[in-house]
Amino acid sequence: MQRFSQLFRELDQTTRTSEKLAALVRYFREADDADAVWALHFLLGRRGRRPIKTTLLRDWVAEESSYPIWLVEECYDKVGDLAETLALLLEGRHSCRPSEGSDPTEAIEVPPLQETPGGAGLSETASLANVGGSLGELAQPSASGSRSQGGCNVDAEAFRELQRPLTPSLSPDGGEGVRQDGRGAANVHFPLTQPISEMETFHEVITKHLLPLAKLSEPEQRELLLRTLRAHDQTGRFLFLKLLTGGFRMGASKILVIRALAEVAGLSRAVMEHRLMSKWEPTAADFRRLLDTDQTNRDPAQPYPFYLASPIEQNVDPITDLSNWQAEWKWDGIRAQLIRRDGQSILWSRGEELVTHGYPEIGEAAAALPDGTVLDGEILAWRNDAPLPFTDLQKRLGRKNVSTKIRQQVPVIFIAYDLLESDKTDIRQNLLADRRRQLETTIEQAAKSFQQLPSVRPPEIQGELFAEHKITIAEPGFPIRLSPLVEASDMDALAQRRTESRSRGTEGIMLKRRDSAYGVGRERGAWWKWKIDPYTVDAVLIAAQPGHGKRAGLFTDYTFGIWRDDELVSFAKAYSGLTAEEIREVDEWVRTNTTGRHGPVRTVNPELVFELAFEGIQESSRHKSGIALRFPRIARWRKDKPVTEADRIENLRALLNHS
Amino acid sequence: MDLLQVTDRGLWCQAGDFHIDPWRGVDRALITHAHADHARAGSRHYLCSTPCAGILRERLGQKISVDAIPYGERKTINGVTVSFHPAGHLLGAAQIRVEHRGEIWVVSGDYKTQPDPTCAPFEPVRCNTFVTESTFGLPVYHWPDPQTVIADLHQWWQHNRERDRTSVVFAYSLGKAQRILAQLDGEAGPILVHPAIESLLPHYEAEGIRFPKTQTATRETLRETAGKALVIAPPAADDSALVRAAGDVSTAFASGWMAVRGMRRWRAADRGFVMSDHADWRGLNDAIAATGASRVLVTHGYTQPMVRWLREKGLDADELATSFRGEGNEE
Ligand SMILES: [Zn+2]
Ligand SMILES: [Zn+2]
Repeated sequence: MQRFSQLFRELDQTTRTSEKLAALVRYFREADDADAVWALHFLLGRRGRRPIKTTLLRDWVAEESSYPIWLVEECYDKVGDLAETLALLLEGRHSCRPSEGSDPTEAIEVPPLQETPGGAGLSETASLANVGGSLGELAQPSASGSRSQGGCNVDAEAFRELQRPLTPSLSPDGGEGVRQDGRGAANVHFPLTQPISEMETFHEVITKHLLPLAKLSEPEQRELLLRTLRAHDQTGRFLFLKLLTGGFRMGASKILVIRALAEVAGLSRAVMEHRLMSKWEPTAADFRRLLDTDQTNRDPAQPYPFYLASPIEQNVDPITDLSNWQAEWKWDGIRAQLIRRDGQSILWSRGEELVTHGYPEIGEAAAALPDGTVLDGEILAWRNDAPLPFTDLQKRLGRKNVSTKIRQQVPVIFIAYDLLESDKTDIRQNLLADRRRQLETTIEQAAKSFQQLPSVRPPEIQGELFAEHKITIAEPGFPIRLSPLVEASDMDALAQRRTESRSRGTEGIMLKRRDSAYGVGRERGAWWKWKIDPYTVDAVLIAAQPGHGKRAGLFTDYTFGIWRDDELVSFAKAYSGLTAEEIREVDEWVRTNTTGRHGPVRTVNPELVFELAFEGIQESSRHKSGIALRFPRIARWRKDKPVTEADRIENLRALLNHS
Repeated sequence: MDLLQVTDRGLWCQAGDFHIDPWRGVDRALITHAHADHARAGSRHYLCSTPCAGILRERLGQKISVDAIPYGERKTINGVTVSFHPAGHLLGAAQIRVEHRGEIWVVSGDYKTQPDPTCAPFEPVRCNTFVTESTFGLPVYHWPDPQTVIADLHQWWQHNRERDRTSVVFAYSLGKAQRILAQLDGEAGPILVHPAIESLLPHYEAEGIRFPKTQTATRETLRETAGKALVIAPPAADDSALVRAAGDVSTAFASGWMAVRGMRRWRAADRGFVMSDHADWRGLNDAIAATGASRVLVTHGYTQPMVRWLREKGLDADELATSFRGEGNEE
């Protein structure tokens, strides 16, 4: 456990990616395979079912620390992370005291004020040390601190109890080591600082203390949990609670973890990610298999780095003569690379995340591509020869199992705009004009052979079966399409065509140099995106709630209202766009302008106006206004605008009809 | 009628016709300490503790009219007896004791119960009504031993020196910065302080506080000492040209807020050192208990949970609505 705690501290104590990466590499090299594989499991955010209900966990920690539930919740509200809240509460509660003093309230039971005639109750030179009781220790700045064991009153019996090995046979009928009343454990006072867990390895902590929880009855869970928490030091308690509550990211992104593991194995990041997508269990054997370099050298999953376009800013216009440029629509989907190699179809998203399973119709259709083909393009939700709003595509995000129903509700296609590998050859250095010609031929031929692949036709019409869900039939035809060119004689004409973007469901225009190779990353010069401007609206802050994670404790999640007649109706939530300074300012303002509390949400005086930028608008039952914005974000704080000048709902509704 | 009450100008004692830490100009202002949310310009006469006077002038201007009395000394104002008692918050910080016709109130200002080599330790004063701050009035705030924190800080500094990196600690310019500086090992490497912090050092030295040798942080000194120095700067100096001049830096915040991981990450500093000039949950509870007060008025921070907690413990507790900001600008 100590090595894992050390990794956590190293990751937590730096903001430098290079240092985090180095810490991860060191860990994966040094840790035992059996431990490292569990670390990998949690670092990648994999999780099982929560073994203990969150409310029970909260209640037990409240009992253990003897704070009322409302105070625990108040703390959670400020800290923003359950595991951290509970760990902090236990820490404050159980640092050793010289006297029994487990109840801080006892400090308050002091005799009534005895008035010394004409003088203060205590001499002017009194220090806290003289006040006695729990104050005594505070005045001692001793280096040993208040947390050393020295001053602790270790209950010998309780300590033996602690050392007794946990019986794997914790039986529901109240076997050895299990207290049936469920209360007994709370009455035993022994120090929480005894670091017995340091002797235990990380995988032992998980297999002996964490995993068994799921199989136990509630009183047994409570018993085992509290015993584990008592046995850990502060970091250990925090980490254990983190593992228990899930979502453990430890300040290292998934990508970084994969990079580290790839480095340890001496493999490319993409190959490592592909391996991690395969089935593996947190066992030492599987960990060795993940790192194995004896497997085939060239992994068929290996993608190429994506080339990214640079934005054309309004006044800096890099293109005057259009003759050497190819124009396409800028699609509003998920950038992806579609690979067909060795009889396998692999779909990578731009974050180099494998998404093959999320869009099976694309993978199936890719079987019609010749072996050794790699396409660059975009995944889009698509119907009747036009893209569906991004919100529809979102319904397909992050799904592991894609049902026939969802495939019919939200059909997807892959719209291809570049060819990176053809006939097993990397052709990225060829000119765009040539690649485009080859791409057109490739797709045309694939579409033809697709018709002859009986097994990969889209699902048959099943409309009647799902009649109540108003199902329309999946998009017929070959779901790998060619991104069409936008024809225009010059920049003025192209600017004219760009105004069609919104009605076509695109984000603007892409411009690519015909004589350019396929670049790497954000190299400027060959690819430009000429986006249409986002919409904006002036809205009034009507409610706020504290953020979680890195913005914990500050009011950073805002709800905005817009005028309908003479009332403000909610229509958007936004979390980002303000500077750190502005966030503080708004946070303080919220605290002094609260008009009501509804759980963590505070309604506020309608006084502040913000300009929100957004990408689109749609009907919604979530907000009182009946509409919702797409990608709303705060463009700026309109300190100059009075509330009366905020926008009216009619203005937004007009956009709705327009788009 | 309460001995002290909140008006639109601040905490007012009608019997003595004076204000404590007023947020608008008044005729006579008693000041607990020189932090901006407690000591504001615009009053005609100020009264504070002796060690506070110099800093108060430094912050509000040399022309203000200030009277100062030593800790513990009584002064009568219109028949009301007042005295200043160490609050342990920073140099010169005081709790103000107000006594009239046998009733005693103590206004804590800001305080901490942990040791601090740059100021007199918190002194509990018995009273009927205690006006307490509650900046960190939640049980998640639990301060580690300050000597451990200073040792961690030295270790971090050494780690950075080994990597040729300048260490920059952001700490509030009055109080925290000097508290850290006074405990630094001057032999470990060059120590640079931001001018806003440096200008306050003579007031500390006049009170007998010793500091290791320092240099003013300027573009030149930062460049000369790059990779070795520890720089203490106020939080507002984050991202300033001054810090950029230091080249490769590792940054840290020293504040009670750093006890919460989310806060640390929000600050985007490499390190967060948990060191506060306010009392933690335990310190607040202990200090309240030590006053023996039956009535507690809570201000400055997490007032509502603190009030509820104290009430559930059987104390007569209420929130006192003040304009002290508390939510950490001086932390
Ligand atoms: Zn203060
Ligand atoms: Zn204050």
